[in-house]
Amino acid sequence: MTADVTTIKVHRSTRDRLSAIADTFGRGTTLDQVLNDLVKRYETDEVRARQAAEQLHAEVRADSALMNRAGAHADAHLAYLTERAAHQ
Amino acid sequence: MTAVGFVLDDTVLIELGRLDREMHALLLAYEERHIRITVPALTLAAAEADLAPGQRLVLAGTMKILSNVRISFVSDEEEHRRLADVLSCLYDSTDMAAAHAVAVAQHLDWPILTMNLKRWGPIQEHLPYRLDLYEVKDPD
Repeated sequence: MTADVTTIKVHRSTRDRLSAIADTFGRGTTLDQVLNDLVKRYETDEVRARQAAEQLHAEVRADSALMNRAGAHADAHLAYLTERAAHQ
Repeated sequence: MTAVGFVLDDTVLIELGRLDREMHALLLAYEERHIRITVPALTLAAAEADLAPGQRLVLAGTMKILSNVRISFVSDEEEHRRLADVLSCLYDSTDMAAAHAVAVAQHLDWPILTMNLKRWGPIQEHLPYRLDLYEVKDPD
């Protein structure tokens, strides 16, 4: 083992899942390459952005009082937009 | 049925980036009601400039995951001309965030959703037409 390599402990099932992904990448793909690819994907702005927004929206949706209030506002806004469109 | 919707201004986009839950809930309610939202790209860029990286992330993600949101780019001659027309009215202004919002709103004939009507006072006084502004109040 070289100085810039380390060992991480993962559950056997996690290792099996990583191995399964490695198999789809082609013969000779190492788990290190798989992990690097997964980390790179995770760090992709789009994924991170979607996750950040999805997490926030899940919290917002779970707040029924907040959503009811927003729904009432949105109904009023829709009525305004519909009325506006009818007169154009 | 005619599509109806709002053009978002930078005051709304900044609040979305700052995790204003009331504003996010409103956008989710819009999505349920098929109220469309158009975000002018230059307005979005100006809003992002006021936000921290984590806040930009939430704003960008929100733009991506809501099915009723579309970003309007300046991508052809027609859009370029419409923006230039607005800028020519705001001859002494470099407020690109407002200019692009006005250009898109005029083209779509949609109102501009804002959290601050006063933000639009200096813009309105230069324009030869009335802006249709719809203000949402911050409950905080």
